[in-house]
Amino acid sequence: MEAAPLRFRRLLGPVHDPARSFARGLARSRAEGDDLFQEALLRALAKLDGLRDDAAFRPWLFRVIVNAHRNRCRRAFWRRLLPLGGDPPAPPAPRTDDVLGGAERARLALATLPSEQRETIVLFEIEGWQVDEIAALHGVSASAVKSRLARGRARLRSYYTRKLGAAVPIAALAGEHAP
Amino acid sequence: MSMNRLILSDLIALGEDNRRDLGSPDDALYRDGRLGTEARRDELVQRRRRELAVMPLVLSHIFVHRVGRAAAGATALVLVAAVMLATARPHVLHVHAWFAPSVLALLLGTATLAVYTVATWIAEHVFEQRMRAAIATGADPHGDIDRLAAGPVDVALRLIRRVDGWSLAGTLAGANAAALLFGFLAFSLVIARYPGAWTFALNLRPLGLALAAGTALAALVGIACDRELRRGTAPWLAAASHPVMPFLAAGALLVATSLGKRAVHAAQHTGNLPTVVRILLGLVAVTSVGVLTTSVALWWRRREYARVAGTDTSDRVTKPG
Repeated sequence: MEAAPLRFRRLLGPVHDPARSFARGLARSRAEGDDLFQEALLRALAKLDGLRDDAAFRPWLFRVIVNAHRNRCRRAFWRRLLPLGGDPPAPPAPRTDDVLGGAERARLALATLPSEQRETIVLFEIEGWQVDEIAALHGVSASAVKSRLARGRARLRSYYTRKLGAAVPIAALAGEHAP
Repeated sequence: MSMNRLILSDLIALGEDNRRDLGSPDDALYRDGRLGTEARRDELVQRRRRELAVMPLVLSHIFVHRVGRAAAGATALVLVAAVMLATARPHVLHVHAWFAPSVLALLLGTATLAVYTVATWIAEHVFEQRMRAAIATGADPHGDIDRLAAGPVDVALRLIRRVDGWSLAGTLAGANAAALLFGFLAFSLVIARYPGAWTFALNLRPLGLALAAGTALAALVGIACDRELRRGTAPWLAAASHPVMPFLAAGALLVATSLGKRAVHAAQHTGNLPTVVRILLGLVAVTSVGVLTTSVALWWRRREYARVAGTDTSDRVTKPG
């Protein structure tokens, strides 16, 4: 019988890149996303015996990442209510590069969404998943996913309008008229 | 519509950013948790800084004064030895004024106090430096975490313990030497009524032996106290710190003084006092003085440890018995 670490290593290979990218998309920063991914991998390795079908590894791992992310969100909530001392983490340094600036902006905007909407937006808009795939992952109906997408987009628009107002970067809008 | 385009382009940029430097699965499985380590290190540093901020001042106070006492005691010992050796030179003997107890006391006191002041000043700087080092961080977070496992209070207690033996030995050696010098001067000038300088020259050997005995006793006490935390209290050290001992020592000193006075008066009629008697008298006197000063020093040491244990660091301190 194949040892769990070896089996895990074999199964992880093909899905590593999208899973890690997804974890980074959920987090407030790349480093935090890598930590989330690491935490999820540890949980997945510990629970690998419960996975009978190797073909189901991809959605299973994504579900583990989603659960790890939700746990983190809950912990952050309780920490906000019950401060345990210590200095708050330093805010991330602003980035000047145009592309990264947009990425940072999107990160900040996504951080304002509830975790379910954030996961749905990241999977649909960034990772390119289909609605029924997302529905299967979350265990909800396709209409519920569409509803989350719509509400998430509305919140993002609201955030962008609030933060940027009429001052939409010209560089970003320039692409609109490009051939 | 423009806003939707902007959001979409930002999300695409985020996706590109997320897919940069993804690394390999092995990298993910066996990733060096540097960020996590740094976070743990930073948290530990914050805790140690708070610990340093509320650390009782008594710790630095005890360390600084222990160093000061050790240095001052050693200075007193060296100066007393120098005074005794100076009497061996005939031209020094002609300067009688130097051997007047008041002048000697002034010189010795000033020099000892000056050394004490400088030593405490240096010790303060050393303590401050160690405390700064106790909360300092470097480029290696793993090394920092290992180093920060011991907080400023632990470092301070270690410093206090390290100078424990030296402090006692130095203080006792200096006190014994000063008591021997001024005791002898008082005995010869006030009780036996001999001029100080000439009696120094005559009793150089017994005085030297008594000084060596007093210093050896101080060194023994210092070594025993240094080993106490590791090996337990030596029985003779426990006996020396018994509350009755100072009274016994004072009684022995009075008896030695009385016997010495009688012997000197008897020798005025029969000739010079035999060297063996002089040596015996010197040894009895220095032993009595040594036991007395040891009792006082050990009492002071117990008091210091009680002050340390009285702080919130009591769980870390092994209080000597």
